[in-house]
Amino acid sequence: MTSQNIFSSGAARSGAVAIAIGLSLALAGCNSGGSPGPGASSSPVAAETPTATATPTPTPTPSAVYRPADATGPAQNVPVPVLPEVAKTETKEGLEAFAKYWFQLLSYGYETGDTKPISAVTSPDCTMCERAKQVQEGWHQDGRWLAGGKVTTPAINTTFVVAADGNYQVAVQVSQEALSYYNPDKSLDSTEPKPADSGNLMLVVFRGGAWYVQTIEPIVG
Amino acid sequence: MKVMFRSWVLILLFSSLVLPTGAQASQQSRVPEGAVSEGSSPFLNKQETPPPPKAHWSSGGADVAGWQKNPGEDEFSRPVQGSVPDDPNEYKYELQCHLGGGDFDTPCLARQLDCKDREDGAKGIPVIWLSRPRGVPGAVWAHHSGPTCLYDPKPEDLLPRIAADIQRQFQNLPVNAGKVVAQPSPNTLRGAETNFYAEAAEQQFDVTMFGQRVHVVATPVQYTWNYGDGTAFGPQPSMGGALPQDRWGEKTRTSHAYASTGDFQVVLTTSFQGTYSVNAGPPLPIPGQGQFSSPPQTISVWRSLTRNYADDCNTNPQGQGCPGAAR
Repeated sequence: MTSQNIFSSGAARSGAVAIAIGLSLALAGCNSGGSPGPGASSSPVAAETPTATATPTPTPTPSAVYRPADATGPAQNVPVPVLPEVAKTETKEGLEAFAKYWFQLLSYGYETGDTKPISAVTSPDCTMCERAKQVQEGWHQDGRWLAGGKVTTPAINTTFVVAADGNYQVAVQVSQEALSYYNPDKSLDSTEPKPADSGNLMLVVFRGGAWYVQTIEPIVG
Repeated sequence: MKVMFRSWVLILLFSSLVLPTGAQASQQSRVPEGAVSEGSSPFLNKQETPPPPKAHWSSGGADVAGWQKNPGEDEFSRPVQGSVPDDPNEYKYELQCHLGGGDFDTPCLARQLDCKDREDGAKGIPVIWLSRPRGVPGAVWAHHSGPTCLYDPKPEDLLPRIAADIQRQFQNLPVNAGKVVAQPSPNTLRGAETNFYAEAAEQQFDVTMFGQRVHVVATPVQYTWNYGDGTAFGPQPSMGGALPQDRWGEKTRTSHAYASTGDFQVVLTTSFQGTYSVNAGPPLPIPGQGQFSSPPQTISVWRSLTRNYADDCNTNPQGQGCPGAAR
């Protein structure tokens, strides 16, 4: 197309431009026709998202009862984990409470596909975290859902020694239950059995009055 | 000039017609991707988009750089480069349905694994294997696998006894060190880079130790080349690789140039890392590595001689390369 720059005939140029505009208009029409508005979606995930974000109401109504995921559908009315007051302090207890909270958010992500809370306290440089988010978001889209996969932390330990780069190390034993993947047609895609508990090292900084995860990596020995 | 100009116009018009068509094609192919990732269009063919990745949290760290607990303290640092990682877990077993002390879980006993006594009379005991990550201070034991059957009158003594003996067992296994391949072979030239590589593979063995079925997996991890001329290379982690014939003579990580002619015995020594599992229990790391050597392979190093042939044999039958020349 750069060859048009050396063009000197005004009439022919406007002709070419007209053709280009005509094509782009045709293209635009094609484009809008190809993707109908998002209102056409009727997936249960879309219907559930507002209730999930509206759960931190102190008095749950009978209709907002928590129901774990199973073969019939995704979890409902999953309470968003709450950051304990102590986890806002730059103390050993605060850091260990924050680590526990972080893995509650991870578990919440497997249940709901909602990765916003965990993203708010985690660096995108954390490879393991980004991979987990891909699984969580992908398997709560287009009518898919996850069942099981609950994450717990049987042991959390920090020396509470801050390194030169500002990072605190937290060693965490992570336990996760078997994880079932359900397809949009409600069929069971597969179930991965419970893996052996793993050891993870969290690198965490305290900044702006809050803990923030730089990365989480496996403990290999 | 005018004719020239018209042909320019035609070409340019043509190109302006062609280019948007190409753009249209690429834009159309982009539409389904974007729409499906938004999850909003039920009309598009979803089979084209791959399903989302599947993984437990821990398997997302399989290829992520890890940490090692510093001996004697609770701080962590990066493992030493090139070190072979140990098993991140430690293991033990407990009698199935055992609650501790003399207490057993009665409902559990009702559906306890039935361990048939073996032909040799060894008694089978149902056990549960437990594991915990080694690096986490205060880590708790969690179910790993089982129930499975152990065969020993005193199963609690068994694992340490096998552990104490497994290294000796390992070194005595008929592990195949691998095949030595040289390029070129069996003859090569003095001063030329001869490419050596190993063909070694993971091997599995079933042995019986203290009456237990022990399954051993040996994985090649390090290679040492003895080129037979007094020089050696290794141990190092590369097994080398084949070169296409048109690249023979190139220097590679595992190639060697012989300084003199003659026949040389090349020996490959391969170090294997092993794991063993007792009665289908979890694979436990075998401490240390087993060294296994290949049978010697003979390589003949020749010298090359370059001569120029320019004589006319009719006028000088004794010239270089002529039938009458003295060789």
